[in-house]
Amino acid sequence: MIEAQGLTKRYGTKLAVDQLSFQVRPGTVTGFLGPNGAGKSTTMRMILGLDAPTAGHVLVNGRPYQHLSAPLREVGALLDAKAMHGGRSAYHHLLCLAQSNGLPSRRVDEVLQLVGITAVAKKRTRGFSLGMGQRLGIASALLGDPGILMFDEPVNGLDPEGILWIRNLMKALAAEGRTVFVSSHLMSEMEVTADHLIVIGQGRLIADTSMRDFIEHNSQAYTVVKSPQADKLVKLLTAKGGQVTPEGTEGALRVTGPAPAAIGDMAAEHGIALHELSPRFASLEEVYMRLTQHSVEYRAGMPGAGMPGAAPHNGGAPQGWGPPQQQGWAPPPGQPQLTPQAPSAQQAPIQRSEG
Amino acid sequence: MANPTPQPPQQPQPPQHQPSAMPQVPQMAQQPVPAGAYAGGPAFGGAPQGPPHGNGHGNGHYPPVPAPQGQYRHEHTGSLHFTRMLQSEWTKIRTVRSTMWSLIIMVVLIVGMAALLGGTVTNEDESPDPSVSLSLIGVMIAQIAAASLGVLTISAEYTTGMIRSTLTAYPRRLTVLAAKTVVFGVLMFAVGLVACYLAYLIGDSMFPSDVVRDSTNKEVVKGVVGSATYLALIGLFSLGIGTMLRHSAGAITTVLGIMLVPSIFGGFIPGKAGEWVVNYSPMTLLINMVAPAGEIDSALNAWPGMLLMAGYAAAALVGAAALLKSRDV
Repeated sequence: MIEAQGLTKRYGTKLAVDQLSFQVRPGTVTGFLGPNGAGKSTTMRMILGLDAPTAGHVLVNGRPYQHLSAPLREVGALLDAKAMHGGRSAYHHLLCLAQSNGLPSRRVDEVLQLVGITAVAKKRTRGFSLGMGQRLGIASALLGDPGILMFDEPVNGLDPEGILWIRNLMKALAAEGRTVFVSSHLMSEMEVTADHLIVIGQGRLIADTSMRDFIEHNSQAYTVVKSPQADKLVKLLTAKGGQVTPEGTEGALRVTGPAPAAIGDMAAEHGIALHELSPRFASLEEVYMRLTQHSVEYRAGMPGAGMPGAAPHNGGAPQGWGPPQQQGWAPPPGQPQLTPQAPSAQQAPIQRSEG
Repeated sequence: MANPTPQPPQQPQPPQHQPSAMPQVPQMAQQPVPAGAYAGGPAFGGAPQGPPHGNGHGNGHYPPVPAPQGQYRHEHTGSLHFTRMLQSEWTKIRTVRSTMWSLIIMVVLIVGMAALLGGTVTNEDESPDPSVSLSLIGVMIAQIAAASLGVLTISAEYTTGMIRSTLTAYPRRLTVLAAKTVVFGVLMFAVGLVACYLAYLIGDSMFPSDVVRDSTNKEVVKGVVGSATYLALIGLFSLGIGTMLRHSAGAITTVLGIMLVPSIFGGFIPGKAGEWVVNYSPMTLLINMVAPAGEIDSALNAWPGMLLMAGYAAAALVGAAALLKSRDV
């Protein structure tokens, strides 16, 4: 069990982690999701007592990390694959860590076997590939057979086989009732490993929800409509409370609100020809992009160059349709996730299109 | 499924965990979602079931993930012990090559200088020095190796990232520093003691009798034990500087500067200040320890000088402790 309460970390003027409160519970894989620079690693370092919080606190099994009686037996962490002396062999790296917690050297052989690097145990770690280093890092995390495991971007740079192996390992560890806390900047990765999600952006909590709820609430349906009389259709749809935004480049519309059948009926009623009417669901990746788009630290300069969710077009000027007040990709109503930075972020595309 | 690598998490053993362990796959199936809508959904979701890359691939690279071993139960364990940390630090220091090389260089310089001088010095002197003084000339150069190792013992942890592993495993930072201090100090003193005594034996047997006179027991103890003490203290001083600066090159340069600059340029500072700088510099304290008793014209005698040296090391370590405790890693 990890409990963070009002966790804040400030580096100079930059707020890396801002009033973060969450709990990570045993028996599940909890995904810690956020764009690069969102504060995931900083949060994990604060959990481990490596960085001191500017405000707030975080408890591990009810105590600050520094007060744990034998940390490796309670928490195993893989923060970065290269937190080791390159001139020391894998075996000795693990041995010195084991000794510091009073673990028997037999345990070193066990974890080497567990991650499958017994053959290179006597080799110095300088020559290890990223995958090997990652496995050695995981071996050190498992050394004390801890009840809590933390992995920071564990699949970064791994081959497909390694990714699969780590996923299965994390699931197996959680199935034993352990707390597994894993960070990633990829929704697609969380989709297949996590049972619970904690999403942060610019250091703030955006969502803390089970994967089930996240899927149910966020992958809401929309409809793609193509019509030669688009202008007329847009007016009708917006009058009915629908949200219309352009979809792709071929004049298709993305309609949120009315069900596909209602749209079809409405078109028929007003004699509007439809060339396409297809129900769609937002992918989790898209939902995630939308949730965090205002908190991405380094954004590509081109509007619309990124993923569909990355604020491609504003509903306003260039295309000449849609109500001017329309908010292109605002989060769905009822989602309080908008950060205060939102207004300025949303103005940006307008300024670009006019200048 | 004919894959040689089993996928145990697909069949979690404890039934009570099955729902929580893999909820996402059934959920996605329940959703009225068209196949193509989840970007990567079917591909990622389906991957664990099928062979990852066809047959015969990945045989033995990754071991099978062990099946869940029933419910994990936390065993309460005793508190951390200082002896464990000493053990850990001893493992650390003896398992990197820089330690071996630094120690070898140190011993070779100390012993080698004695042998070299013993074989070449022919000066005649009205009042010959005791053999131990001349034998231990090498310590003045060998201290550079001691200082470098002192810096590297901690700075290498910072430059490699090992420090994060160390402090995650043992979050009481001052205990970590204390263990490093004890292990490094004892190692340095022991190796220094052996090297200096060896140098004395070699020098004593090689120097011609018109160059040196026999050393008294007291002089041997002072020279050998004193030099070993000095090597340990200059090493600990460097350990403190290394902890404060965290960068190998910067810390080694700083220590070398402190070691060499006062004795070379201190004399150029006019008046009492220059004298003061020279008298209390580490190099002078070492020379006082090795030189014959009658030739010291410094403000401090040999052993009081060593006490001052210990004060330097302690000051550096206190500074190191304060920064280590307050800084983020």
